[in-house]
Formats: sequence, structure tokens, C-alpha cells
Amino acid sequence: MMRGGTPLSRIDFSRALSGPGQGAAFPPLPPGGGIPPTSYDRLLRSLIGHATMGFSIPSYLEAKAMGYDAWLEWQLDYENIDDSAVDQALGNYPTLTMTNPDLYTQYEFDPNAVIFELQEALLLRAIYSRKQLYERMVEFWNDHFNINQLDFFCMWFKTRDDFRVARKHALGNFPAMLKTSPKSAAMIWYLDNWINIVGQTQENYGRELLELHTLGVTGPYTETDVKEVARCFTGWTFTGVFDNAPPGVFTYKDALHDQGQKVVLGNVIPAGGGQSDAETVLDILAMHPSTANHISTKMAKFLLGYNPPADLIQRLVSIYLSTGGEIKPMVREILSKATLAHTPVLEKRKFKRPFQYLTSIMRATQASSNNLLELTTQLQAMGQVPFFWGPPNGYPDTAEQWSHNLQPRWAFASDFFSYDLLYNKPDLQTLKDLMAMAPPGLSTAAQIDFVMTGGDTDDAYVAEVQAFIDSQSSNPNVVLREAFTLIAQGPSFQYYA
Amino acid sequence: MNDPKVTGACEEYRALSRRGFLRGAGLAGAVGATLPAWLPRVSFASSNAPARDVLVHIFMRGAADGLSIVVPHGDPDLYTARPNLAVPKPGNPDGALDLDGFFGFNPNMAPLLGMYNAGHLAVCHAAGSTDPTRSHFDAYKAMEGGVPGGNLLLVKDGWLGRHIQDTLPWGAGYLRGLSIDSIMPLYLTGADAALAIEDPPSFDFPGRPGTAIQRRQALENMYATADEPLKGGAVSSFGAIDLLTSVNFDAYTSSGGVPYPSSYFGNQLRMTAAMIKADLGIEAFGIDYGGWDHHENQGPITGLLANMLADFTSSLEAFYLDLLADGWLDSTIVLAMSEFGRRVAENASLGTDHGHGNMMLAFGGHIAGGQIFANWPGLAPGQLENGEDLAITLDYRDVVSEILVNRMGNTNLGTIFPGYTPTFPGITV
Repeated sequence: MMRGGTPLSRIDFSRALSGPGQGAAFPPLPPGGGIPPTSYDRLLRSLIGHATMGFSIPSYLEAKAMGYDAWLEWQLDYENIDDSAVDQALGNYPTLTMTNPDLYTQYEFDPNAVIFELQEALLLRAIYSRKQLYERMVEFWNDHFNINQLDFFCMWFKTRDDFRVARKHALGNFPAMLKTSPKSAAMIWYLDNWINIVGQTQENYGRELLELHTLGVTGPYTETDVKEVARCFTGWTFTGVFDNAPPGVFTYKDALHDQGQKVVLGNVIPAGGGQSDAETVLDILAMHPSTANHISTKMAKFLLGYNPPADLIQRLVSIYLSTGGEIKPMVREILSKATLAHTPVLEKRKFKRPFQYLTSIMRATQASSNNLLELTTQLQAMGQVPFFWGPPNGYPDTAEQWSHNLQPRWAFASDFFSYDLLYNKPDLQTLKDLMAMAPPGLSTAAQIDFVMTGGDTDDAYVAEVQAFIDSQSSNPNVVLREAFTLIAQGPSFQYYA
Repeated sequence: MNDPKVTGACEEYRALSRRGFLRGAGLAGAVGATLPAWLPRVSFASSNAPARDVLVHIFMRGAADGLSIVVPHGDPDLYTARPNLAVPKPGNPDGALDLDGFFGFNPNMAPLLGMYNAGHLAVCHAAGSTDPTRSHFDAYKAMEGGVPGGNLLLVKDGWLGRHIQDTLPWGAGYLRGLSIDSIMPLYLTGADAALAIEDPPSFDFPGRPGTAIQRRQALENMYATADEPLKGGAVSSFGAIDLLTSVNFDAYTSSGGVPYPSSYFGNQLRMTAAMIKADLGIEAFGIDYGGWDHHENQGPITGLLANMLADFTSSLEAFYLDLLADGWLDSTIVLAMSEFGRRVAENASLGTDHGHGNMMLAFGGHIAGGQIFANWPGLAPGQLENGEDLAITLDYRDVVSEILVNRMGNTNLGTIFPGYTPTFPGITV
């Protein structure tokens, strides 16, 4: 079910423009480049496009130096990636590691501080972290277990949910993540399980658990199953609502639990099970073939393309079932050289959602930021502020739902390259240095395209941009930035493939 | 000023009118010169604009509680099922505002009484989408997709989007459907010339004015060879930029004597009125009003629902009076619906859970208002759908079909509601 206001809720981001805030920067450019790309490089760019928050020449050189398989393994083994610069910058956000009771007590009258820190930290990581594949998966799971940050207690509690559900298990084990989610105070509040008590069942969480989190809407469950699952979760609540403890810690209240026998998907759950009733349900759901199919399909659609091949889904389902829901081998299978090389371009081409459109511009230009929150205001205009999606199904991920909204993208690209944003501007010298890393013999427009996509923009579009450059006689630096704008506004840059 | 729609309009409206737009528009000439052949031509509505109404479709997302909004106070079973939540009978403190001796408005809906009594507002009840689902998302697909009871996995577009796609434009043709939101709702999906625009006043072609024409030309050339749906999105975006930059939104105020509330919805309706009166050729507007999913502490008289209803209806009243004052109500229809109703019995959290039948609202110059369209199925346990929900005796497709055919020039309902044969309830005049 949905909560909150319109699908995209609104918040006052005026604080974002009140002065420089927390910022971040990329490390200096590495040496290299200037080598004509081969077809193997095209595959590497495809891997970077699907596994990161946007192409950049440094990522490309990194993958080139390591090789396809080694780079993918390096990204999968994210815990061993040296990300010290971002880790250090994250120290500026004290709320990220605070507990719910501390967050609520210390920020009771300033929830915006909590909201903004999580927004900024997400942008910081998505743009600047070296753990790019990990961030992609965090994005996926935060959509899967969507919580609207603007839903009262979630203003404080979403931070902990992000930390303990999506980030803890993003490349770990799905059943483990699934079992953490119903103990998240944000989820308990968002889907109303705190008022799900014996004799007065509240089926909201139970329904979404089946429909969205596990079996999928086509799964083999009935309205009765929804009600029975809700009975199993009675009494799963958090502190502060039925007691005077500081709010937001998961607690099971036996007195509020329906102790009777339940039947879920044909499984009899005997009377008197207490807290174990819901744990049994989670066990049943976690390893159900419909869950394996739902998660496999959704993950392949997210990471690979809108219509993933059936044989890939079959392989993912068998990986899921044979490993007990391990995520890493599934991701490895989707992004393997064999899969990407054998998937036609049009089958693996995806339309960038606004968040990725923005991060891909920041990454390609290696732009530093003096205020990451300003980027959130840009995402608001484009329609995808992180954690603000109202319904529990997560932000949509189809070309149809985003391609009608081009003007806000064009406006963001223009504002960014025209220096019209206050705190997020590309550095002209960096742009020129990046262009110098392009293969020899390219036109100015083709060099720009190499910076932005590695050379994937249609030749005709590059020619169009070059014609624009050639027609201008004003300040060449201004024209150069307008040419960057055109590449970023053009059709090819809206996709990754 | 011989356009009857503009007669009597104050100076601001004239500035906004189609003629004002054309006359003032150096823009139309400048931009028109750069349009490539693949971009559809502007053909502004002729002065004898066909009798086709603009539809303002308001989706009450989240399953609004029709039984608390239009209260069947004449049904005693309401008070049995909802001992704590039911709006009291008329004449009691906080009682319903009686409409016909059986139904009454929630007391927070007083702003709608004027248009009801004037014969412009019609109320439907025990109405809605007959799809049995209780999932909001499947219900959206069923209702917005126009396929209740159908295969929801196949839903790709919506009934209003298909209507626009399947009928000839009667205006500019660039921008025929507009959702005032940052994401296109399903019901408007499927029309090439439909856009989701969160903030119409800032929808312009960005960048340095000195190079705007050349940059735009370059982009238009690129998008001319893009794949769908991106190409269609670009066509609409360019056309909409030209249309919307011609409207002075900031200066626009109501001429109805009642100012628009400063709420988000109030401002959405204010902008909608500006665009209707500017005669841009937009045939359908989509506005989402979400947040009706009150599983707990519903507050129908004072509280969550009451506050929403007050904002909802006072905004609609301002819009109604604004259009009425200049004669635009005659060519406008407002239609409000929700994906399903809420369960008849209240729950233990002073809220209501997902149900089935609901109310709908429609107003306009050609709506047979001042009456209630309802074949009341009753709220006694034996009368309820599945033993717990208000049954549906008026399919929303009947209401929509009549409006599309009689007032919006639709000649092929078969593609709008496949496999459904509507019965017109007589809601248009």
C-alpha cells in the first residue's frame, strides 16, 4: 500500500542553497589513455555502464589495466576495495551510524538534518566511491525494500534501515536481508506492522512482503495467505509505541501476538509459536521457488536489460536455490563476460533514471562538489529524490516512465556545464585534460564524447555537435562547455548499454 | 475580442488567451523557423473550436474512503459497521451535509455544495473499477489501464493516453495531455503528445540565449533519429517548451472571487486554469492527489481525512468559480476517482482497510449535476461484496465512456476499454 502524499513528496531544500556544504572530489587523473579502442574495450565500457553509476575515463583505464574478469571480481569483493577517501568524507555525517533512539532523541526537532545527511551520503558514495557495483546493488535493494523517508518516523529511522538492510547485505545473502527487513523500525512504521496486533490484524506489511519482497504479484498466494501472514507478524513492533523506552528498536511483544494456529501457503504453523511464527514464514518465503524467480528476474532487469533472456533467469534461479540465496554469484552471472558479450546491444540498453543520469555526468566530468545537497534539488526537478518514493514498489525502472521527462534533464545538463549551479561545476582544465586522454585524431566533439561515454555516442550526433562548434566564433571555452552540454543532452547519453 | 470565451475577461486573461499568445509571440516565429519537417506543425484551434471539453482528471491515489466522503447516512448499517468512524446523520453535531435525504457530504466538503446546488456537480456512488484486487498497484493497472478483470501483466498504457492517441488533435498537437507531476501516471501513458511536467512555469529551453537556436537545432536533429519512446518524448518536450513559455503563470490569479489555496493542489489547479484559458490545445490534464490510504487514525471529521478533504474541496471550489466566471466551465470537465474504496467495517486502529466500491465526482458545464448516480447495493452484511465491501453497481468505464464520446470526440471506445460495452449513465448534457 502507499502512504504519504503524491508519489513524489516534497520537502523544503532551501538549506541546500544556503552556502557551501559537505563536498567531495575525485583523486587526480591517472596517466594513460590515447590508445585507439578495440572491440574488447567496447565490452569493458558495457561492463562499466552496467556495473557503475556512470562511465568515466579513470574507471575505464582501471578496467583496461585489470582485465574484464579481474575488474568484476575486484568490484564484487567490495570489502577489500580501498575507499579511504570516501570513508573519510563520510565522517562528516555523524547520523549515518547512530541508532534510532539516538537519532530520534537528538534530532527530534530537526529531522531535516537526518534526511539531508542520508541524501548527501548517498550522492557522495554513488559518485565518488570506488565500490561502484556495491552502490548499484544498494540502489537496487533500497528500491526493492522501498521506504518513504518522509513518512514521519522514517525521517529518523530510514538511515538505520539503509545501514542494516540494504548496505549490510547488498552483495551478501538475500534470505538474511529479508529477515532483517521486518525488524527495521522504519519498515515496521512504513507498512503499519506496529499496529498489527492479535484480534486486530493489520495486513499491510504481510501483503507487501508477499507481493513485492518475496513471491511477486503473480506468486501462488491467496487473500487468506495475506491475512495468515499478517497474523504471524502480530506483535512485531518497535520500542516507544507501547512502552516509554526510547523509540525505534525492534521488539517482539508476546502479549500482542496471535497465538493461534496459522496456515501459510499450505504450511501449518502450530499454535503457541510466538515470535517463531513469523520467522517460519520468512524461512518458507526465502527459499520458495517463486521468490527465487521474482528476485532473479528483477535483478536481471535492473542490471542487464528490460527483457532478460529466459535462460539467464533459469541459471539465476538455480544459483539462488543452490546457494541459499547468495547474491554475489547471481550478480557475477548477470555481468559475466559471456552474458554481456552475447546480449545484443538493444537488449542490454537501459534508459538512465534521473539519479544515474546525474551521477553519470558528475563521474564522466570528474567534477568536484562543494555542496552535494544541491544535487538533490536537481533530482527533485527530474523526479527521483532518493528515498522519497511514496508507494512501496520503489522508483519505476522503465524507459516509458522516464523518457517523457526530458526537459528537466536538459536543464540540469545546461545548468551544470554553464556554471549555473552554485556549488557543482565542472572544472574546465579537468575537462581539457580528460579530452587529451582520448585516442589520437579525433574531432573536438568526438573527444568530448570519449570523455562522456568512451565513444558510444552515434557518429551522426557527434557530427551534429562538431557542426555546432564549427559554427561558433565566441569564447571557445564557453562553446566547449556548450558542446559538452549537447552531448549530455543528446539521445545516446540517456542510455547505457 | 469576439471570442466568447474571452469576453468579459480581465486584462490578465487576455494576455493569456490564444489570440494574445499569437499576437505577442515573436517566439512562435523565431522557433517555427527552426522546426525540422519531422516535428508536427502547430495548428492552433480555429475560432470555431469544436465542442470538445478539456478533461481534468484527478486521481485520488491511495484508495479514498468514499463512505466518509459522500456519506450514505440513510443506510443504518453504516452506523453498525462504523461505530467510531461514521460521519453522523445530518442535523447532528459534525453531521453530514444532506444532499438528497440519503446521501450527504462530509462536513469538510461544504465548498462543493455551491456547484452541486447549481447543477454542475454530479456524484456517483457504489462506483469504481470492478477488478477484485486489493493491491493498490494492481488496482492502478486495472483502473488506469482500463482493463478491470483483465490480464494486468499486459498493461502498458492507460485509457486517457489511448484516447488522446486515437483521436485527432483539436489544438496545437504538441502537447495534448499534461500530468502536473514529475512522473507520467499510467492513465496518461500511451500518447505521444503527453508530458509529465512538475513545474510548468519553469519549462523552457535552457542555456545561453545567444546560442539557443543553434543548440536547439542540433538537438532536434539528433532526436529526429532517436528510437521510441525517446523520440516521442523529445517531440513533446520541444513543443511543450514553446507553448508553456508563452503563459505568464506568475501573474495568473482567479477571476472567480475565491483565491486558490496556497496548497500544492491549489497551485496545481491554478496553473491548470491558466493553461486552459491560454487555449494551448491541451485536451487533458492529470493531477494526482495522494495520501488517502488511512489504515489508522483516519480522522474523517477532524484529523487526517478531514484536513485533506478541506484542502481538496476548497481548491476545487476556487477552480470551479474561476472557470465559471469567464465561461470556460462550459468546455471543461473535472473527474475525480480512486483505485478502490475502503472496507465497510472500520478496523481497530480507527482506520479502514482496502475495500472495493467507492464514490466518484464529476463537474463541468456539461455535466448533469445536482444529482447522485447510484444504484445503492446496501451495507447490510448480506449485501456486501465478499461479505465485507461495498459492491460496485456503476462501472467507472460507463462514466468515462460517456464523457469521452459525448464531450471529447471519441469515436472508438473499443481501443479505450477493450471488450467492454458501456452503458451511458446520462452524466453529460
